Amino acid sequence: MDLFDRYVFWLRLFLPKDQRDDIIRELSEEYRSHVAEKEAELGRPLNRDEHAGLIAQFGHPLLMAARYRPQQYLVGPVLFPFYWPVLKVTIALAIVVHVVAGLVMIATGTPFVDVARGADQAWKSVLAIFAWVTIAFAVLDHSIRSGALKGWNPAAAAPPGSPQHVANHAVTGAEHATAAVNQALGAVNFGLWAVPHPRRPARPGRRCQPSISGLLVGVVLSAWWLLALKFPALMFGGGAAILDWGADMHRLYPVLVVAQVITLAEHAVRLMRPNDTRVFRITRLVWFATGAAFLYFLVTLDHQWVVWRNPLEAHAGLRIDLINYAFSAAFIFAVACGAIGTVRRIARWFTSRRGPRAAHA
Amino acid sequence: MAPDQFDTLRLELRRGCLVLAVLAQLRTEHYGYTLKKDLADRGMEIDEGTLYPLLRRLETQGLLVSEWREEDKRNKRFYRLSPTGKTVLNELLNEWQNINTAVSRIAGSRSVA
Repeated sequence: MDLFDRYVFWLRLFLPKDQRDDIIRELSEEYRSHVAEKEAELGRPLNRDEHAGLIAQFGHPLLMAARYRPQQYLVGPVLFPFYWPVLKVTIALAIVVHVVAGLVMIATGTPFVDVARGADQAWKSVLAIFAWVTIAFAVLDHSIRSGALKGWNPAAAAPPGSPQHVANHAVTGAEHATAAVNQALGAVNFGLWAVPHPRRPARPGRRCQPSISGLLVGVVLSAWWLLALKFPALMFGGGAAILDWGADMHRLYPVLVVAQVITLAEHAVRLMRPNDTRVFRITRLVWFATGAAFLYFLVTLDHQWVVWRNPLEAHAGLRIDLINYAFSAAFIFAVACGAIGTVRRIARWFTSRRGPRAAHA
Repeated sequence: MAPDQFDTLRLELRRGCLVLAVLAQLRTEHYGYTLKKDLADRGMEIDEGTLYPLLRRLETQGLLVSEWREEDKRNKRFYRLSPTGKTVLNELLNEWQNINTAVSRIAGSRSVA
């Protein structure tokens, strides 16, 4: 086997299947033309080094083959600056959850086997988060490459800080809290939704603007929260070895799905079509319905959100009723925040009905 | 400027020019090896690893047509401009002239320290 045959052998492995034979045939013929001309020029056959020099001009087989393929990537340069920090933050959060859960288990005297089982779940959670974050971004990237942003109209965006912009973009603290508790049972999500907003109006009242980073973090955390209800290890970390979701949480699941979807949809619309108030009216209605359903379940269910995986096992130091109280408190907090937001919105509506002067007073 | 930086910018500059040069040279039919030689003789060096995939891409885009034919007892793949390729080449040459004029005007009016 001469040097070029060896080169072709490796090149063939990397070339696109449907063009492989044709490309090899063309390159082989071109190479022979090149060699024939050189040999005629020198008046002697080429030696091994001269052959190697000619082959080197084709480049490494992997690089050469890559040039015959279309450029392919999951997350391109447009979204990568968002993808990377979101991935790091979510994986770091998952690790923190697992570490804290593991420490709690050790502190409460959980058998080592259960702690080890919980640790085993940790890498699976990290892998799942990596996969879901990547899939979410790949879908977004695909939509951008398909021209989702081509119809962008600069005139449709109200100037930052204008009354219209503030009215459409304003997200009250109560709404943040509702979304936060919905998405990650509290503080973690609230912080992440609130922190990335680069600009806050001077007016007090915790109003802030939507941002792409906020939306992307929201997508990831929503996916995490909804997946956590299917894969408890994502929420409990190592504790998933002994804890599972109760029947009441499963009954609440459809409401949570609607709440997540409507939160993200509204955030996306605020970002992309700030002047489309019809959408906000619809999302308000869905929010109201979701809140009412939430309240209904809170009143009628037994608050068995979390149960022991094996009720017959003893778990020293851990009280399931306390965990369920914590969940109930978080849900009640979410509903209360939603109710406050609704009351404030109704109050604003009444104020605005009194006339623009009164509204700005 | 660091040599690496210069190489990167030079590559960016050459990338578009190579397409233009290849299309212009293929107003007359060539196979890969003679095309490479003719381009080199006119001052546009291009290595095999760039040329053959580029020819394939331009053909996929409908700017070139190719056929296998025997010449000097050897089968070769000959490339030439397609009708679409001729139109695109003319438009690209116009654009090239505009850019060339503009850059000459800009570069000529400013001193380079």
